[in-house]
Amino acid sequence: MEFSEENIRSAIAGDRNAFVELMKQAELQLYQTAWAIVKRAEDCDDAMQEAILKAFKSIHTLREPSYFKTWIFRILINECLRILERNKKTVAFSDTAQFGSLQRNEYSAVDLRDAVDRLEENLKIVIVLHYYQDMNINQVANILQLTPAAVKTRLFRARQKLMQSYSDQQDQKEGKINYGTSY
Amino acid sequence: MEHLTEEISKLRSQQPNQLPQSTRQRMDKTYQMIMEQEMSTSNQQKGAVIHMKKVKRLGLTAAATLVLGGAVIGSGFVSPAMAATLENLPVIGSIFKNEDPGLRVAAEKGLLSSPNASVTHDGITLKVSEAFYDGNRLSVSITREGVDLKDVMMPWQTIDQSEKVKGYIDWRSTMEAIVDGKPVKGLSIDSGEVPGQKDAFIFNVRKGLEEANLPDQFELTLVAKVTQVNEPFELKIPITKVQPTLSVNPEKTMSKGDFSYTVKQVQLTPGSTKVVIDSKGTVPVTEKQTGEFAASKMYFDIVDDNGNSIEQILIPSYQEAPKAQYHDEELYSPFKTTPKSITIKPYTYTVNKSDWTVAGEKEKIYHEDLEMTIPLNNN
Repeated sequence: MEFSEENIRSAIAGDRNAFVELMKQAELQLYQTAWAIVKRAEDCDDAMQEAILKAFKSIHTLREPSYFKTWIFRILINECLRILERNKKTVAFSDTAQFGSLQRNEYSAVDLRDAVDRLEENLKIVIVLHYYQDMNINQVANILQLTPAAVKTRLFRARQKLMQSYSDQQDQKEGKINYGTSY
Repeated sequence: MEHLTEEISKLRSQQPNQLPQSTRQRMDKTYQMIMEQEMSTSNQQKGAVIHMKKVKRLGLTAAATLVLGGAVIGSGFVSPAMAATLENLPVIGSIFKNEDPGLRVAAEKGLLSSPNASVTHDGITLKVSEAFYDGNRLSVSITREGVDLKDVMMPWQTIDQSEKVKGYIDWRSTMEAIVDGKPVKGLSIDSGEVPGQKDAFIFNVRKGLEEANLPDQFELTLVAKVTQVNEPFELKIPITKVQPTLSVNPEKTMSKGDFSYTVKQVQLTPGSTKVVIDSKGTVPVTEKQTGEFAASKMYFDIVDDNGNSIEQILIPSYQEAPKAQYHDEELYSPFKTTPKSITIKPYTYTVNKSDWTVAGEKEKIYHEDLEMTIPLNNN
């Protein structure tokens, strides 16, 4: 996803059309990211809408157009985390139904995705940004306002956990005795 | 580990590759809010395209649950006149009178019901004042009591602050429509404050009602959330359909060059007129619509056999290059009397190619050679 620098500059200068254009260009990736983190359709919509409105309110503060992408993802992720926090405070809900319809012909992929979903938030987010959204370590670091080394550490820990869950699941499938999984 | 990395990377292709319908609608409304913000702060532009400013539309107002109760008020046909008599309608002071031309006429004709529905939580009361449903549109006006705030809807420009203030309608909740325990999908909901009415807002469904196939009488449950009040406000509103006077499916097509349009449906009710038109192809352009200018998508005016025109409730402004095809399901004000025929008058606006906003004085460029007259068989 390449954003036109001219559009970004126009949006910073207050051009609403340019801003909306940028959002339309970004919305699918933003949606994919929100979906991977909050996992509930209405929360996803809330996160997207609030992130876009907040971005609109504060885009004039963006100094460097090249940071636009990491900037908008940072706003979105903050919104997602805020929503997860809000949900924790209110009702604990079980919402497995909407994932029941996923095609299950790719068993290992589904299992792995489940394992990613079950990672703690800070590990899941680095996986989502780095692997799902194909961002490099520096971009992820910029979004999460961490050092690149910290991002690498999180990625390493996330992969370790996934490896553990993944091999446990494979063991279960192959009928091996399972002495407990990582979750 | 390397194998795992590969497997994780593969998950990328399993992500959703387009926005679901509900998200799409939410995004479009978000963009509309942003664009309208511009319109209200920049020079006050005049003209039809700005009609959308009439109501400050804030996307999804309230979590709305549409529940059709089993116990409906009989199954017989209730004429609008009879409904008016039965319901003792408050026409004077109607909130709808300040709304779009369709609801204004409905209010003047006494077609509104005034359901006695109100809910109080934590000192704040939401009260339904009027409702209108005619198959083309479903509108409910609601008043808020118990707080003294300038806005009814949570002001989005200051979300951080306003969500901490008690008493705003929190429009961020997602609409959910449920009929007999099953969700009604595809309803396009918009709601917003009413100009000149301090504590009122209107809930509107203007699209998707036909597909939803609602019965003539049902109970509508709207669930609204109010900032800093934990309990949701659940309003149960009995709705009776004002029956259409006439509905035709002409399936008539007119074309010019690459462009054509087909009128799929015309439905007249005492409170609105709905026209469904599919169009495709490149719209014809005039000399002015070249160079830095272009033609907008095709819009349609409607006049009766005596040349009386009806007003389109909301002319959508797309601010993007016209697409190859459109499915327009548009609402207009009602005709005073049922005409013998109507004429569809296609027109475009001249738009700036740079940002697709309407140029100049928002002059309508009519295409007389594309006009279509549709006889209405009102026996």
